[in-house]
Amino acid sequence: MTDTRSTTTTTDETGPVKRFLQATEIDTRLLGMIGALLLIWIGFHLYGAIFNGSGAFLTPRNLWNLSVQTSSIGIMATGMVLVIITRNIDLSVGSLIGVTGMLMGILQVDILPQYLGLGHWSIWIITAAAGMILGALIGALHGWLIAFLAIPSFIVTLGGLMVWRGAAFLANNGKTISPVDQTFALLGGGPYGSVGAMGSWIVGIIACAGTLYLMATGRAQRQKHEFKMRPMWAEGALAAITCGAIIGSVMLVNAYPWPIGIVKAYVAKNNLTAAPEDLFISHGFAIPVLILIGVGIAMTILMTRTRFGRYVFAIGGNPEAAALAGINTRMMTLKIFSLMGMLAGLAAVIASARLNSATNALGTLDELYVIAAAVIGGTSLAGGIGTIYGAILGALVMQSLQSGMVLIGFDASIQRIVVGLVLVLAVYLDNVYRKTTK
Amino acid sequence: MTDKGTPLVELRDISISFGGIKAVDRVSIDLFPGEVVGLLGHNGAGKSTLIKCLSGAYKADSGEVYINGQKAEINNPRDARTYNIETIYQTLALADNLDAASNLFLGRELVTATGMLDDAQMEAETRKIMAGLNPNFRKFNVPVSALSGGQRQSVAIARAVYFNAKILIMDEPTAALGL
Repeated sequence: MTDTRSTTTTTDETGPVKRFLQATEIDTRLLGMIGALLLIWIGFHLYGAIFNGSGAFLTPRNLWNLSVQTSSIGIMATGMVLVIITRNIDLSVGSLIGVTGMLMGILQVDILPQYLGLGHWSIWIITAAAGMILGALIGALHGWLIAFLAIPSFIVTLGGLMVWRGAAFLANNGKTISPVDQTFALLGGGPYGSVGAMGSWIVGIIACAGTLYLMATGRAQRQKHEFKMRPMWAEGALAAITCGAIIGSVMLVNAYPWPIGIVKAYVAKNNLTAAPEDLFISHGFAIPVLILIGVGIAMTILMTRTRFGRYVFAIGGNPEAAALAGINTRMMTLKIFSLMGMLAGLAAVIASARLNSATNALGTLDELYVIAAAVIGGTSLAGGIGTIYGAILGALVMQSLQSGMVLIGFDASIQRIVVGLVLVLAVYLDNVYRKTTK
Repeated sequence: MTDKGTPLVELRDISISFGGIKAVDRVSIDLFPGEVVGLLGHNGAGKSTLIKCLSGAYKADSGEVYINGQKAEINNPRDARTYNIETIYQTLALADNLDAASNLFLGRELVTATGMLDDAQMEAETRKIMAGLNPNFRKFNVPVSALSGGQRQSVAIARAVYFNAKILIMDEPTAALGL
């Protein structure tokens, strides 16, 4: 039976760090990932500083770019977590980006302007919705084949990988569609596709207020049921760390100014009198990054606070028990793949907006980065275990490695070798972590 | 046999086959309130299969089920639960990665006014029921994979007890018992 004495005696002997972690209930795994990320960042920066004369990694510009580059993979990784938790895999997401991207390109460039007029305000909404709906439908088809016809997900989505890439080519006979709708292009980021200094402060303040509100209601819940509560100093420390990180990131994105060329064009367009050289216009958070954060929050709520999420975990832990508990596991599988497809559609919005064009090769090999991001983020391929924030951090680790190696001048072949090795190493370390903490 | 009134459960001519094998062949049983009935048979006789027809895990090919004299349609475990039929399975049917409260309420989660899971309420209820069943049980915030066999068993039993089972089916109840 449970031995309560051992836990009470050990707390007296633990050091301040361990006591802090216990009191704040911070997930040590999360801490490890953030530590690894910081190591990678500092490592690249120092390498650049020592061997190339200047460190280019830890600059507002690079970190801002990194955040934008992570969004598309990060969004898909949150969906892949659900797929992998339920012991499935989706190899088709890269091709889904291709085919939904092409559909959206044709829709907003060739079809909608005919009826609505070029540059109509609603074009981007209709286009993005259509892309996500197509993704959801294709995902639902995959899910149906997997759940109701009992074809393994590996096979269904491997087929999907080829079929939808082919369809993306056929959609416009292999031709690239460019440029996309002006408003649509803002969803991909860039100077105009960012919310600016004031907007970023508003986002940051809302995020801080939200964090404090959640912590307060969580504490009230615990109090009501007389569960063990964090000491007040730990609550305070957690709030300070979280809000500090949020405010720090606002200051970071606001420290990256528009390039001089864009500022000159902006000044000329708006007939401003100020000299472009004197203007410091901040990027602020890029829109795709805000979309990623929004998706991350929504998916976290879905996974931790709703029945749907609970059933996803239950199916991953024991599919038979889930079915015996009255969960419609087939319908769940269909919905999970459909959600994954919809997120791939959303990722395609960002990827094609960022490129300002739709190409049939869009998203090639993305499925592997998405799966790698989820796995580096601690999603277990055996099923039942995984977190949304882990997957997003995993995507950030992958992207940091890639852009870091570009910055210090490693060529593509070395990049692939390093990313491959890191993937295997990350899963090994995760195994070790799980064994030692149990 | 003396007349005991309407049976709580009547199984009539239940048959089910898998491929060419007739696992259960026209079985009829009457169960009365307060009775404890043991089902005996060789390995592979079809005991578990018959039980699973009543608990909704399998759907009988033919035959009828009456609960309190009313014809009952049991197509899945959810249907069985609406008739207050609870089952403790041989395998315990626990999701190992979830904690005790999540397992206890699996498929019947308590939700708040906004439709979100009320984990705190579920944990509080679990603490209450476990206090009666297994007072030494304290591992409320760990996955059930970290529990001993007996503790896991008590979670499975708590699930049947909590929801006021009128008909409690136990498939090999001692198989996972920690003694």
